[in-house]
Amino acid sequence: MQDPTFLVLTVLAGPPLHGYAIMQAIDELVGATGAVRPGTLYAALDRLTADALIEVAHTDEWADGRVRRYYRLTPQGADALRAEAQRRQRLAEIALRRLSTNPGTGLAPHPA
Amino acid sequence: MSEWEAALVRRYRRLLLAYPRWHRRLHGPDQLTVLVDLAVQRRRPPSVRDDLALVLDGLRCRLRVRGVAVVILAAVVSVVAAAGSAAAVGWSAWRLAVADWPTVDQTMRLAEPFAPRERPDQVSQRNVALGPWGADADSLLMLVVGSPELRPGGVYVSYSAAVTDPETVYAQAAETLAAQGWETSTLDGQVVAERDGLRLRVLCAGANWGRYDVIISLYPTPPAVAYGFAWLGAALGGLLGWLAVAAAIARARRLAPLRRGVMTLMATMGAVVSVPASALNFMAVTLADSDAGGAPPWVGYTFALARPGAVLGGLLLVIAWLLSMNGRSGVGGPLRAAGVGRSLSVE
Repeated sequence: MQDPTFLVLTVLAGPPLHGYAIMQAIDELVGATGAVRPGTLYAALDRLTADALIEVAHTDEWADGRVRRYYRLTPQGADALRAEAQRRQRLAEIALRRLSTNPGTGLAPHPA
Repeated sequence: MSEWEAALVRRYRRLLLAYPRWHRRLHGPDQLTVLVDLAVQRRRPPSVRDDLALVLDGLRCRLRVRGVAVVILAAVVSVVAAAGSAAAVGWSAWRLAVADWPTVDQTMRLAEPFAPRERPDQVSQRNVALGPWGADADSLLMLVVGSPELRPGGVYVSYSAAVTDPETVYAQAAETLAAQGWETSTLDGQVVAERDGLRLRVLCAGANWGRYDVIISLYPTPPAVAYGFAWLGAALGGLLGWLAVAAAIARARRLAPLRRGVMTLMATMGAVVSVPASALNFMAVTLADSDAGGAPPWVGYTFALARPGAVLGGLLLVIAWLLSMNGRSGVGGPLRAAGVGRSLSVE
């Protein structure tokens, strides 16, 4: 799973969010502005919707033709996110363990 | 909505045209809202860089295909479309640029100064760039199935066992034709002369008891421009083929599984049966050129069995494309239930 996909699923693990709110939540999560472009976001939303990992919860419509669509995780999406988060956690733990035990890195063992 | 926001909406609607139609139907109005929200939050209009990024994302979306099997299918269909387009564009350019077909009288008059004195043993004429010869040449079967044996068209005049010294014939031919303003050269031992879009060849071959046959042929010079345009057509066709597969696959994701399966089967079969003609055509366009007097850029579609294969393959690909359509919105399943596709404002 690529990073933008993982981030979209992560921020949708909560109440339904619309596109702009998803971008803001991702910015907050990674601590940077413009972490995901609208084009990247909608490529991910399209793919995730087609794979039934997310779905449209509801839609607000304006008279000028614009809409605001709220997305939420599906049960399959929650399973996929959980599996990916665990995989990333395992990899992160391995990386930290190797860093703390390998004297060649010049780093002190992690205090935890 | 303020005037500034209204202008933004108009601007983004134009930029979103870079996205494929199916994407605009599915996500256009929603993406438009996000883009306007973003600009309002930044309190500045989008920069040229922002616009460019949006357009590039849209073009990437048009080209995007997922999965190894789909990439292979897209690649094969691209090759098929490229070859078909090369043939169509090359044929059109050829028709526009090529000289009129020469006549037998014209050929005899030109060859008179250097041809053997006796009457020719065989005179034949066929006004097709490359095609079947003989009694069956114009049969319906040949037209449908393609030809097992192809020969370049033009006028052919042959004299059997007519000369003993081919070099004298060649020298006389080159001298006479040059004096008449023909541009002469030698190719594989033959004299080749060109003028006014026509090419004349003189060949002495088949030595028998020290005597050689003389074959004089006159035909329109293959126009170089046809090969250039064929390559242009190939590039355009290949791109369009890829775009068509990407769009069809994107639409098909939301079709019923049975319909999607039939569509995929049709597309795969169509691509596979079209491959022989396409490959032959690409070989012809690659290997041949106007100087060598090679095959025209649509030759792949004239070979026996390759032609019906290409027609059948083309039909199957068109049916697969039509099957990928799903009504007006192209949106089904849970998205339709949630109201996606109802708003058509960004189409």
